[in-house]
Amino acid sequence: MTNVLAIFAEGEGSAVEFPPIENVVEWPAFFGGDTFYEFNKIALMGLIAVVVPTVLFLVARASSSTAPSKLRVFVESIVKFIEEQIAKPGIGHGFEPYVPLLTSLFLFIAIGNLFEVIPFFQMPMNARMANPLVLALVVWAIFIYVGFKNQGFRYFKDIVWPGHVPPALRPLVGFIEFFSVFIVRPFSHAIRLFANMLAGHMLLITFSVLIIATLGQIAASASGVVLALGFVGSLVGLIGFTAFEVGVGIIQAFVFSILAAVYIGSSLHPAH
Amino acid sequence: MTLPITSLTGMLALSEEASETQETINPVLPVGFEIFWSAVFFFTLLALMRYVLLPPIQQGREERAARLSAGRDSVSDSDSELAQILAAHKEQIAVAEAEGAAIIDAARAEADGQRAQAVGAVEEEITKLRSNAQAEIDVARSTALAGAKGSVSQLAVGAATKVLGRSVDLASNQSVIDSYLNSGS
Repeated sequence: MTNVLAIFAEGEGSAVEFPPIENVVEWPAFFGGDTFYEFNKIALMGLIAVVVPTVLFLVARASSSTAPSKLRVFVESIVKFIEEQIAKPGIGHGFEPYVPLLTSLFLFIAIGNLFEVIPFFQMPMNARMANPLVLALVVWAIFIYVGFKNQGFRYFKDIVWPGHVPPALRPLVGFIEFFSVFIVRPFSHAIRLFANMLAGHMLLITFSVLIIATLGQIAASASGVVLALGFVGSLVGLIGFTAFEVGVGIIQAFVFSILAAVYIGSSLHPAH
Repeated sequence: MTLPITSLTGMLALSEEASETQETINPVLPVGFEIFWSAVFFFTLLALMRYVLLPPIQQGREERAARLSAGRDSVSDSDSELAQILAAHKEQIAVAEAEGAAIIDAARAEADGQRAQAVGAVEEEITKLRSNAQAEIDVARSTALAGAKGSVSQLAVGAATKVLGRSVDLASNQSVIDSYLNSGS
Protein backbone atom coordinates (compact mmCIF):
# COMPACT_ATOMS: atom_id res chain seq x y z
CA MET A 1 0.00 0.00 0.00
CA THR A 2 2.82 2.37 0.87
CA ASN A 3 4.48 1.67 -2.49
CA VAL A 4 1.30 2.48 -4.34
CA LEU A 5 0.95 5.77 -2.53
CA ALA A 6 4.58 6.54 -3.28
CA ILE A 7 3.98 5.97 -6.96
CA PHE A 8 1.03 8.31 -6.80
CA ALA A 9 3.30 10.82 -5.18
CA GLU A 10 5.67 10.63 -8.18
CA GLY A 11 3.15 12.41 -10.35
CA GLU A 12 2.94 11.52 -14.06
CA GLY A 13 -0.53 12.98 -14.10
CA SER A 14 -1.95 10.13 -12.04
CA ALA A 15 -4.93 10.81 -9.80
CA VAL A 16 -6.95 9.11 -7.10
CA GLU A 17 -10.53 10.20 -7.29
CA PHE A 18 -12.26 9.89 -3.96
CA PRO A 19 -16.01 10.25 -3.97
CA PRO A 20 -17.23 13.51 -2.52
CA ILE A 21 -18.57 13.46 1.01
CA GLU A 22 -22.05 14.24 -0.29
CA ASN A 23 -22.14 10.76 -1.77
CA VAL A 24 -21.95 9.34 1.75
CA VAL A 25 -24.31 11.64 3.60
CA GLU A 26 -26.69 12.92 0.94
CA TRP A 27 -28.88 10.86 -1.33
CA PRO A 28 -31.23 12.07 -4.03
CA ALA A 29 -34.89 12.08 -3.01
CA PHE A 30 -37.22 9.55 -4.62
CA PHE A 31 -40.09 11.83 -3.62
CA GLY A 32 -40.94 14.59 -1.15
CA GLY A 33 -37.72 16.50 -1.71
CA ASP A 34 -36.94 19.20 0.89
CA THR A 35 -39.87 18.15 3.09
CA PHE A 36 -39.98 16.36 6.44
CA TYR A 37 -41.03 13.20 4.60
CA GLU A 38 -38.32 13.24 1.93
CA PHE A 39 -37.84 9.64 0.86
CA ASN A 40 -34.37 8.62 -0.30
CA LYS A 41 -32.20 5.50 -0.38
CA ILE A 42 -31.74 5.47 3.39
CA ALA A 43 -35.51 5.58 3.92
CA LEU A 44 -35.91 2.81 1.33
CA MET A 45 -33.51 0.67 3.36
CA GLY A 46 -35.64 1.32 6.44
CA LEU A 47 -38.74 0.26 4.57
CA ILE A 48 -37.05 -2.92 3.38
CA ALA A 49 -35.77 -3.57 6.91
CA VAL A 50 -39.44 -3.65 7.96
CA VAL A 51 -40.75 -5.61 5.00
CA VAL A 52 -38.13 -8.39 5.08
CA PRO A 53 -38.72 -9.57 8.68
CA THR A 54 -42.46 -9.09 8.25
CA VAL A 55 -42.56 -11.34 5.19
CA LEU A 56 -40.19 -13.86 6.80
CA PHE A 57 -42.32 -14.14 9.93
CA LEU A 58 -45.62 -14.24 8.03
CA VAL A 59 -44.41 -17.00 5.71
CA ALA A 60 -42.84 -18.86 8.62
CA ARG A 61 -45.98 -18.78 10.73
CA ALA A 62 -48.00 -20.21 7.82
CA SER A 63 -45.93 -23.37 8.20
CA SER A 64 -47.20 -26.06 10.54
CA SER A 65 -45.76 -25.87 14.01
CA THR A 66 -45.97 -29.67 14.26
CA ALA A 67 -43.64 -30.24 11.31
CA PRO A 68 -42.03 -26.81 10.86
CA SER A 69 -40.50 -25.77 7.53
CA LYS A 70 -36.85 -24.78 7.25
CA LEU A 71 -37.87 -21.12 7.16
CA ARG A 72 -39.90 -21.51 10.35
CA VAL A 73 -36.97 -23.26 12.01
CA PHE A 74 -34.74 -20.38 10.91
CA VAL A 75 -37.14 -17.75 12.27
CA GLU A 76 -37.62 -19.66 15.51
CA SER A 77 -33.84 -19.91 15.81
CA ILE A 78 -33.56 -16.13 15.54
CA VAL A 79 -36.22 -15.64 18.21
CA LYS A 80 -34.63 -18.25 20.44
CA PHE A 81 -31.23 -16.63 19.97
CA ILE A 82 -32.64 -13.25 21.00
CA GLU A 83 -34.40 -14.79 24.01
CA GLU A 84 -31.49 -16.93 25.17
CA GLN A 85 -28.49 -14.79 24.21
CA ILE A 86 -29.79 -11.23 24.55
CA ALA A 87 -32.98 -10.90 26.59
CA LYS A 88 -32.38 -13.47 29.32
CA PRO A 89 -28.73 -12.64 30.11
CA GLY A 90 -29.32 -8.89 29.73
CA ILE A 91 -32.59 -8.49 31.59
CA GLY A 92 -32.88 -11.64 33.67
CA HIS A 93 -36.13 -12.56 35.38
CA GLY A 94 -39.14 -11.00 33.64
CA PHE A 95 -37.48 -10.62 30.24
CA GLU A 96 -40.46 -11.95 28.24
CA PRO A 97 -42.34 -8.65 27.61
CA TYR A 98 -39.22 -7.11 26.07
CA VAL A 99 -38.55 -9.84 23.49
CA PRO A 100 -40.60 -8.06 20.76
CA LEU A 101 -38.62 -4.85 21.32
CA LEU A 102 -35.26 -6.63 21.27
CA THR A 103 -36.25 -8.72 18.24
CA SER A 104 -37.29 -5.56 16.40
CA LEU A 105 -34.06 -3.81 17.34
CA PHE A 106 -31.85 -6.71 16.34
CA LEU A 107 -33.51 -7.39 12.99
CA PHE A 108 -33.95 -3.73 12.07
CA ILE A 109 -30.29 -2.98 12.76
CA ALA A 110 -28.87 -6.20 11.30
CA ILE A 111 -30.82 -5.94 8.04
CA GLY A 112 -30.03 -2.23 7.84
CA ASN A 113 -26.33 -2.98 8.24
CA LEU A 114 -26.30 -5.73 5.62
CA PHE A 115 -27.18 -3.19 2.93
CA GLU A 116 -23.47 -2.38 3.03
CA VAL A 117 -22.76 -5.45 0.89
CA ILE A 118 -25.90 -5.46 -1.28
CA PRO A 119 -25.43 -4.11 -4.79
CA PHE A 120 -27.22 -0.87 -5.65
CA PHE A 121 -27.43 0.04 -1.94
CA GLN A 122 -23.83 -0.58 -0.76
CA MET A 123 -24.40 1.69 2.19
CA PRO A 124 -25.35 0.59 5.70
CA MET A 125 -28.51 2.26 6.91
CA ASN A 126 -26.90 2.86 10.31
CA ALA A 127 -23.98 4.77 8.79
CA ARG A 128 -26.41 7.68 9.03
CA MET A 129 -26.92 9.02 12.53
CA ALA A 130 -30.69 9.33 12.38
CA ASN A 131 -31.52 5.65 12.72
CA PRO A 132 -29.14 4.81 15.61
CA LEU A 133 -30.26 7.97 17.40
CA VAL A 134 -33.96 7.12 17.08
CA LEU A 135 -33.37 3.58 18.31
CA ALA A 136 -31.17 4.75 21.19
CA LEU A 137 -33.74 7.33 22.25
CA VAL A 138 -36.47 4.68 22.17
CA VAL A 139 -34.38 2.44 24.41
CA TRP A 140 -33.53 5.41 26.64
CA ALA A 141 -37.20 6.32 27.08
CA ILE A 142 -38.14 2.71 27.76
CA PHE A 143 -35.49 1.99 30.38
CA ILE A 144 -36.28 5.20 32.25
CA TYR A 145 -39.99 4.37 32.14
CA VAL A 146 -39.31 0.81 33.31
CA GLY A 147 -37.10 2.10 36.12
CA PHE A 148 -39.70 4.47 37.52
CA LYS A 149 -42.52 1.97 36.96
CA ASN A 150 -40.80 -0.87 38.82
CA GLN A 151 -38.79 0.97 41.45
CA GLY A 152 -40.58 4.25 41.75
CA PHE A 153 -38.58 7.21 43.01
CA ARG A 154 -36.02 4.81 44.43
CA TYR A 155 -34.74 4.28 40.87
CA PHE A 156 -33.77 7.95 40.58
CA LYS A 157 -32.52 8.13 44.18
CA ASP A 158 -30.24 5.07 43.80
CA ILE A 159 -28.63 6.73 40.79
CA VAL A 160 -28.10 10.25 42.15
CA TRP A 161 -27.43 9.14 45.74
CA PRO A 162 -25.84 5.64 45.51
CA GLY A 163 -26.06 3.86 48.84
CA HIS A 164 -23.14 1.50 48.18
CA VAL A 165 -20.68 4.44 47.92
CA PRO A 166 -19.00 6.09 50.92
CA PRO A 167 -21.10 9.11 51.98
CA ALA A 168 -18.38 11.61 51.16
CA LEU A 169 -18.25 10.45 47.55
CA ARG A 170 -21.98 10.18 47.00
CA PRO A 171 -22.50 13.66 45.53
CA LEU A 172 -19.67 13.22 43.03
CA VAL A 173 -20.55 9.64 42.07
CA GLY A 174 -24.24 10.55 41.99
CA PHE A 175 -23.55 13.42 39.60
CA ILE A 176 -21.43 11.18 37.37
CA GLU A 177 -24.05 8.44 37.43
CA PHE A 178 -26.86 10.87 36.65
CA PHE A 179 -24.87 12.36 33.78
CA SER A 180 -23.90 8.90 32.55
CA VAL A 181 -27.32 7.25 32.73
CA PHE A 182 -29.65 10.03 31.71
CA ILE A 183 -27.52 12.18 29.41
CA VAL A 184 -24.60 10.28 27.91
CA ARG A 185 -26.06 6.79 27.62
CA PRO A 186 -28.35 7.33 24.60
CA PHE A 187 -25.64 9.14 22.68
CA SER A 188 -22.92 6.57 23.44
CA HIS A 189 -25.42 3.87 22.54
CA ALA A 190 -26.18 5.52 19.19
CA ILE A 191 -22.67 6.66 18.29
CA ARG A 192 -21.19 3.20 18.95
CA LEU A 193 -23.35 1.76 16.19
CA PHE A 194 -23.17 4.74 13.87
CA ALA A 195 -19.39 5.17 14.07
CA ASN A 196 -18.66 1.49 13.53
CA MET A 197 -20.81 1.31 10.44
CA LEU A 198 -19.60 4.61 8.98
CA ALA A 199 -15.96 3.63 9.56
CA GLY A 200 -16.50 0.28 7.86
CA HIS A 201 -18.22 2.00 4.97
CA MET A 202 -15.35 4.46 4.55
CA LEU A 203 -12.88 1.59 4.65
CA LEU A 204 -14.64 -0.19 1.79
CA ILE A 205 -14.81 3.07 -0.18
CA THR A 206 -11.07 3.54 0.29
CA PHE A 207 -10.25 0.06 -1.00
CA SER A 208 -12.64 0.46 -3.92
CA VAL A 209 -11.06 3.78 -4.92
CA LEU A 210 -7.59 2.29 -4.68
CA ILE A 211 -8.59 -0.63 -6.90
CA ILE A 212 -9.97 1.70 -9.56
CA ALA A 213 -6.94 3.97 -9.34
CA THR A 214 -4.35 1.17 -9.54
CA LEU A 215 -6.18 -0.58 -12.36
CA GLY A 216 -6.19 2.62 -14.37
CA GLN A 217 -2.53 3.29 -13.78
CA ILE A 218 -1.03 -0.16 -14.39
CA ALA A 219 -0.68 0.19 -18.16
CA ALA A 220 0.53 3.79 -18.14
CA SER A 221 3.06 3.56 -15.34
CA ALA A 222 6.63 2.38 -15.57
CA SER A 223 6.14 0.68 -12.22
CA GLY A 224 3.42 -1.58 -13.50
CA VAL A 225 4.43 -4.53 -11.31
CA VAL A 226 4.21 -2.51 -8.14
CA LEU A 227 0.87 -1.10 -9.17
CA ALA A 228 -0.34 -4.58 -10.02
CA LEU A 229 0.66 -5.69 -6.55
CA GLY A 230 -1.18 -2.67 -5.17
CA PHE A 231 -4.24 -3.60 -7.22
CA VAL A 232 -4.19 -7.20 -6.01
CA GLY A 233 -3.62 -6.09 -2.42
CA SER A 234 -6.50 -3.64 -2.62
CA LEU A 235 -8.77 -6.23 -4.22
CA VAL A 236 -7.97 -8.78 -1.52
CA GLY A 237 -8.46 -6.08 1.12
CA LEU A 238 -11.80 -5.08 -0.37
CA ILE A 239 -13.07 -8.67 -0.48
CA GLY A 240 -11.77 -9.38 3.02
CA PHE A 241 -13.22 -6.24 4.53
CA THR A 242 -16.52 -6.79 2.72
CA ALA A 243 -16.82 -10.17 4.43
CA PHE A 244 -15.64 -8.55 7.63
CA GLU A 245 -18.36 -5.89 7.35
CA VAL A 246 -21.03 -8.59 7.18
CA GLY A 247 -19.79 -9.89 10.51
CA VAL A 248 -19.46 -6.38 11.92
CA GLY A 249 -23.04 -5.59 10.89
CA ILE A 250 -24.41 -8.61 12.75
CA ILE A 251 -22.17 -8.05 15.77
CA GLN A 252 -23.15 -4.39 16.04
CA ALA A 253 -26.82 -5.38 15.96
CA PHE A 254 -26.10 -7.85 18.74
CA VAL A 255 -24.14 -5.29 20.77
CA PHE A 256 -26.81 -2.62 20.43
CA SER A 257 -29.56 -5.09 21.40
CA ILE A 258 -27.75 -6.56 24.38
CA LEU A 259 -26.87 -3.10 25.66
CA ALA A 260 -30.56 -2.20 25.39
CA ALA A 261 -31.36 -5.36 27.35
CA VAL A 262 -28.77 -4.54 30.01
CA TYR A 263 -30.10 -0.99 30.39
CA ILE A 264 -33.67 -2.28 30.75
CA GLY A 265 -32.50 -5.00 33.14
CA SER A 266 -30.74 -2.46 35.36
CA SER A 267 -33.98 -0.46 35.51
CA LEU A 268 -36.15 -3.51 36.07
CA HIS A 269 -34.18 -4.98 38.96
CA PRO A 270 -32.85 -2.75 41.77
CA ALA A 271 -29.13 -2.85 42.34
CA HIS A 272 -28.22 -5.11 45.24
CA MET B 1 -17.20 16.71 -6.79
CA THR B 2 -14.05 14.77 -7.70
CA LEU B 3 -10.64 15.53 -6.29
CA PRO B 4 -7.65 14.81 -8.51
CA ILE B 5 -4.45 14.48 -6.50
CA THR B 6 -0.97 13.89 -7.68
CA SER B 7 0.84 13.24 -4.47
CA LEU B 8 0.43 12.01 -0.94
CA THR B 9 0.08 15.61 0.17
CA GLY B 10 -2.68 15.83 -2.35
CA MET B 11 -4.55 13.20 -0.36
CA LEU B 12 -4.13 15.31 2.73
CA ALA B 13 -5.52 18.24 0.80
CA LEU B 14 -8.51 16.06 0.04
CA SER B 15 -9.20 15.56 3.71
CA GLU B 16 -8.77 19.28 4.35
CA GLU B 17 -11.20 20.08 1.59
CA ALA B 18 -13.54 17.46 2.95
CA SER B 19 -13.36 19.22 6.29
CA GLU B 20 -14.37 22.43 4.62
CA THR B 21 -17.27 20.60 3.04
CA GLN B 22 -18.32 19.33 6.47
CA GLU B 23 -19.07 22.91 7.46
CA THR B 24 -22.14 22.76 5.31
CA ILE B 25 -22.77 19.00 5.33
CA ASN B 26 -22.04 17.35 8.63
CA PRO B 27 -21.98 13.55 8.24
CA VAL B 28 -22.56 13.06 11.95
CA LEU B 29 -25.64 15.17 12.57
CA PRO B 30 -28.97 13.43 11.87
CA VAL B 31 -31.32 14.87 9.28
CA GLY B 32 -34.96 15.54 10.11
CA PHE B 33 -36.61 13.47 7.41
CA GLU B 34 -34.32 10.51 8.14
CA ILE B 35 -35.32 10.68 11.80
CA PHE B 36 -38.96 10.80 10.69
CA TRP B 37 -38.70 7.72 8.48
CA SER B 38 -36.55 5.82 11.00
CA ALA B 39 -39.16 6.40 13.68
CA VAL B 40 -42.04 5.48 11.37
CA PHE B 41 -40.41 2.27 10.18
CA PHE B 42 -39.09 1.16 13.54
CA PHE B 43 -42.35 1.73 15.39
CA THR B 44 -44.17 -0.06 12.56
CA LEU B 45 -41.87 -3.05 12.91
CA LEU B 46 -42.17 -2.94 16.70
CA ALA B 47 -45.97 -2.91 16.55
CA LEU B 48 -46.04 -5.70 13.99
CA MET B 49 -43.57 -7.74 16.01
CA ARG B 50 -45.49 -7.18 19.24
CA TYR B 51 -48.99 -7.94 17.98
CA VAL B 52 -48.75 -9.86 14.70
CA LEU B 53 -45.43 -11.50 13.95
CA LEU B 54 -43.92 -12.82 17.15
CA PRO B 55 -46.88 -14.30 19.12
CA PRO B 56 -47.74 -17.06 16.58
CA ILE B 57 -44.11 -18.07 16.32
CA GLN B 58 -43.67 -18.26 20.10
CA GLN B 59 -47.06 -19.91 20.59
CA GLY B 60 -46.36 -22.54 17.93
CA ARG B 61 -43.00 -23.28 19.47
CA GLU B 62 -44.49 -23.63 22.94
CA GLU B 63 -47.29 -25.87 21.66
CA ARG B 64 -44.77 -28.09 19.94
CA ALA B 65 -42.68 -28.25 23.11
CA ALA B 66 -45.84 -29.14 25.08
CA ARG B 67 -46.71 -31.85 22.55
CA LEU B 68 -43.21 -33.26 22.76
CA SER B 69 -43.43 -33.24 26.54
CA ALA B 70 -46.85 -34.92 26.44
CA GLY B 71 -45.48 -37.45 23.99
CA ARG B 72 -42.62 -38.19 26.34
CA ASP B 73 -45.06 -38.62 29.23
CA SER B 74 -47.22 -40.89 27.09
CA VAL B 75 -44.22 -42.98 26.15
CA SER B 76 -43.26 -43.15 29.81
CA ASP B 77 -46.79 -44.27 30.72
CA SER B 78 -46.72 -46.83 27.94
CA ASP B 79 -43.40 -48.15 29.19
CA SER B 80 -44.83 -48.49 32.69
CA GLU B 81 -47.97 -50.19 31.38
CA LEU B 82 -45.88 -52.47 29.22
CA ALA B 83 -43.76 -53.43 32.23
CA GLN B 84 -46.91 -54.24 34.21
CA ILE B 85 -48.32 -56.33 31.36
CA LEU B 86 -44.99 -58.10 31.00
CA ALA B 87 -44.87 -58.86 34.72
CA ALA B 88 -48.45 -60.20 34.64
CA HIS B 89 -47.60 -62.35 31.64
CA LYS B 90 -44.50 -63.68 33.35
CA GLU B 91 -46.57 -64.51 36.41
CA GLN B 92 -49.16 -66.30 34.28
CA ILE B 93 -46.40 -68.19 32.50
CA ALA B 94 -44.91 -69.25 35.84
CA VAL B 95 -48.32 -70.49 37.07
CA ALA B 96 -48.91 -72.32 33.80
CA GLU B 97 -45.46 -73.90 33.97
CA ALA B 98 -46.13 -75.05 37.56
CA GLU B 99 -49.51 -76.47 36.56
CA GLY B 100 -47.94 -78.15 33.54
CA ALA B 101 -45.24 -79.69 35.69
CA ALA B 102 -47.85 -81.00 38.16
CA ILE B 103 -49.91 -82.46 35.31
CA ILE B 104 -46.84 -84.06 33.81
CA ASP B 105 -45.86 -85.52 37.18
CA ALA B 106 -49.37 -86.87 37.76
CA ALA B 107 -49.49 -88.31 34.26
CA ARG B 108 -46.09 -89.86 34.71
CA ALA B 109 -47.16 -91.40 38.04
CA GLU B 110 -50.36 -92.69 36.49
CA ALA B 111 -48.47 -94.11 33.53
CA ASP B 112 -45.99 -95.76 35.87
CA GLY B 113 -48.87 -97.28 37.80
CA GLN B 114 -50.58 -98.50 34.66
CA ARG B 115 -47.32 -99.88 33.35
CA ALA B 116 -46.65 -101.68 36.64
CA GLN B 117 -50.17 -103.03 36.61
CA ALA B 118 -49.82 -104.21 33.03
CA VAL B 119 -46.44 -105.72 33.70
CA GLY B 120 -47.84 -107.49 36.79
CA ALA B 121 -50.76 -108.89 34.79
CA VAL B 122 -48.47 -110.08 32.04
CA GLU B 123 -46.08 -111.65 34.53
CA GLU B 124 -48.99 -113.33 36.30
CA GLU B 125 -50.23 -114.67 32.96
CA ILE B 126 -46.73 -115.87 32.12
CA THR B 127 -46.48 -117.60 35.50
CA LYS B 128 -49.83 -119.20 35.00
CA LEU B 129 -48.93 -120.35 31.51
CA ARG B 130 -45.60 -121.61 32.74
CA SER B 131 -47.30 -123.48 35.59
CA ASN B 132 -49.80 -125.04 33.22
CA ALA B 133 -47.07 -126.06 30.86
CA GLN B 134 -45.09 -127.56 33.71
CA ALA B 135 -48.15 -129.52 34.86
CA GLU B 136 -48.71 -130.80 31.35
CA ILE B 137 -45.06 -131.76 31.15
CA ASP B 138 -45.29 -133.54 34.47
CA VAL B 139 -48.42 -135.41 33.37
CA ALA B 140 -46.83 -136.39 30.10
CA ARG B 141 -43.68 -137.50 31.82
CA SER B 142 -45.65 -139.53 34.37
CA THR B 143 -47.67 -141.09 31.59
CA ALA B 144 -44.58 -141.85 29.58
CA LEU B 145 -42.80 -143.15 32.64
CA ALA B 146 -45.74 -145.41 33.53
CA GLY B 147 -45.83 -146.78 29.99
CA ALA B 148 -42.11 -147.30 30.04
CA LYS B 149 -42.29 -149.05 33.39
CA GLY B 150 -44.82 -151.58 32.02
CA SER B 151 -42.67 -152.30 28.99
CA VAL B 152 -39.52 -152.52 31.07
CA SER B 153 -41.23 -154.88 33.53
CA GLN B 154 -42.30 -157.12 30.65
CA LEU B 155 -38.80 -157.05 29.19
CA ALA B 156 -37.22 -157.73 32.59
CA VAL B 157 -39.55 -160.68 33.33
CA GLY B 158 -38.99 -162.05 29.82
CA ALA B 159 -35.21 -161.68 30.18
CA ALA B 160 -35.23 -163.20 33.65
CA THR B 161 -37.33 -166.19 32.39
CA LYS B 162 -34.76 -166.84 29.64
CA VAL B 163 -31.82 -166.45 32.01
CA LEU B 164 -33.26 -168.60 34.76
CA GLY B 165 -34.82 -171.07 32.43
CA ARG B 166 -38.03 -171.00 34.28
CA SER B 167 -41.08 -168.90 34.32
CA VAL B 168 -40.90 -165.78 36.37
CA ASP B 169 -44.13 -164.31 37.61
CA LEU B 170 -44.50 -160.67 36.80
CA ALA B 171 -46.97 -159.86 39.55
CA SER B 172 -44.80 -161.37 42.32
CA ASN B 173 -41.71 -159.53 41.14
CA GLN B 174 -43.37 -156.24 40.24
CA SER B 175 -42.31 -154.58 43.50
CA VAL B 176 -38.67 -155.53 42.91
CA ILE B 177 -38.78 -154.12 39.39
CA ASP B 178 -40.47 -150.89 40.55
CA SER B 179 -37.95 -150.48 43.35
CA TYR B 180 -35.13 -150.81 40.83
CA LEU B 181 -36.62 -148.41 38.43
CA ASN B 182 -37.42 -145.83 41.11
CA SER B 183 -33.90 -146.00 42.49
CA GLY B 184 -32.58 -145.32 38.96
CA SER B 185 -34.81 -142.38 38.29
